[in-house]
Amino acid sequence: MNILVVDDDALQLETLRRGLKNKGYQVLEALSGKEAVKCFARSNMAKIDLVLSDYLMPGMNGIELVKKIRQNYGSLPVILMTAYGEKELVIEALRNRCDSFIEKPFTLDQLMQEIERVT
Amino acid sequence: MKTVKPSMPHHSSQDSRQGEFPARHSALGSFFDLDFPRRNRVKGLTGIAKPFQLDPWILKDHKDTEQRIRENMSVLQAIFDGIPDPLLLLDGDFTVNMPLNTAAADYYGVPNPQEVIGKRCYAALRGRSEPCEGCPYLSVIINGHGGTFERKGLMDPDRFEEVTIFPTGIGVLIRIKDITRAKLMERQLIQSQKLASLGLLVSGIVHEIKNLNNCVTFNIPILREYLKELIPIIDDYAERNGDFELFGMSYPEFRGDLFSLLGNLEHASDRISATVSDLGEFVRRGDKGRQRWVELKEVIERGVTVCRCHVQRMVKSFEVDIDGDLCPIFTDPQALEQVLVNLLINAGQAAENEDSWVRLRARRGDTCGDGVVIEVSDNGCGMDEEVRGKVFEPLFSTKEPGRGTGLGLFVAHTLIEELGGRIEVDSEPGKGSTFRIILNNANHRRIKNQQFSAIKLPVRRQVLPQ
Repeated sequence: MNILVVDDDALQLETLRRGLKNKGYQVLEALSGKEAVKCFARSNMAKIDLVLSDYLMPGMNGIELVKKIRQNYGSLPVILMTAYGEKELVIEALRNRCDSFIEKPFTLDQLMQEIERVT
Repeated sequence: MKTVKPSMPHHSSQDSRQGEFPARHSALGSFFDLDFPRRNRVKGLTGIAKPFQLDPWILKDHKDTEQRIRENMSVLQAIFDGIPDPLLLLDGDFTVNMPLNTAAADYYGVPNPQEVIGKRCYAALRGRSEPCEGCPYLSVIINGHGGTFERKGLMDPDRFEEVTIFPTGIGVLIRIKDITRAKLMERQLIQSQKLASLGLLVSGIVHEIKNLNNCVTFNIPILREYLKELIPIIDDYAERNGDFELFGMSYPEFRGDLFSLLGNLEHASDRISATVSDLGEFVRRGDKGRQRWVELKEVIERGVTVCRCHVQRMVKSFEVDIDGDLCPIFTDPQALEQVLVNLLINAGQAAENEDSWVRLRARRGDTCGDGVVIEVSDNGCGMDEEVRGKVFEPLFSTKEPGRGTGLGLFVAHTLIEELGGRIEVDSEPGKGSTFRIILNNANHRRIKNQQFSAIKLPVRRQVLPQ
């Protein structure tokens, strides 16, 4: 299974990549929403099975990325990560058909549960 | 000595005025060879009377003029008294020229405003032998144009005053205006602006810490997995080499230490996470949309804990009675807590007799629309109808200056309205007051609208219902 991980923080990206690879996933990485969109364009869509994106990123935030994905790629599962546990944010994310919302900090096990739940 | 006839045009006939001729003033008459009318109080004219040989008619006319001046003066004094700020009229050497106005007499505590006339202001009003320190009066006189400055209250240092010194044709007018309320508002505004920027700063830091802490939280279990893979190999090695030591520890000791270190890291990371979450919660205080399902008992108890000591210092007994059957409500717990603290402290401050008490009672509403009723009662001074009508208005306060901003109950009212509830007051002077918060059972409506009743939003993870 291929997961596209989007986060503007390289340390987070590396952390997530290692964790997910250990669990047997293929990981694609993007440092911004725009880079993620390019990733979609480059790769054959069949290659990406799930998107795991940070919410707060410069340029395009996670919810904007979700909107873009919904427009172009339909119901591809998306999990948003955030360090803000704001209820309004959760509601907005869910309204935009984001599949799941996970608040930092979380463990690999918790992330795995979410991935299994949405795929 | 020859007497000159009255020469004023309206005094054309002496005979016709005969009956009105003033009675002779014996004391002055013996000094001057003149018929001085009585009670004319023309002492200022005695010096000039001699050379001009004044006629009693002229003096009588002067009396009329004087009467008019006196009338004018009393009109002026009435206007002066009618101005609500303390006013003083001084001349160039600090001498008070005119009776203090009523506000100034109250301000300085002068029982008779007339008695200060002709005295130096610092002596008559402050009992000093020289001008007060830092008094800008002289510099204003020298410069010739007026000025305004702010100072701490002269009579009450807890207040703020704005003093205007304004030179006029008849002396220098000084106005003292109480600006305590405006100053407090300004301070409050600055304080809330500061808090708002502090809030932004803190939430930025909270975000950053949570992000970085995520690396720790996320990686520790992975590290533990790695070690679990590695440990059997080392176990094997240690078995074959009985005296295997690491960092001066026997291998079993080292092995235990390794996992306890990881456990410590994990624990610390959890603590960081809990602390910054609380901090984030704290700075979001006052934001709209912080409503959630809460146990009312917990919210009330938190509010009571915050102000219990304070209230107990003011009243003899402080009772809290929360019904056991209250259902959870959908509200902003922090706003509600703030309102309760406000009401409890107000109730405490109203105390005036020895057996004073404050009671808080929370119970289910009487009708199905009223979800919960929270009452804060006291047996303090109470309020009359006029005060009761204004009690929720902004900037209205009956507290002594410096103690109340007049915003507490206004804020309480606003917050409760934002929560879709209402706040009422019963009060009788001398008997006490009861403030009643009624939180409507609007919660069901809310759920219907949002269709989110099935969402469980745990603190850590938030998940869409399947």
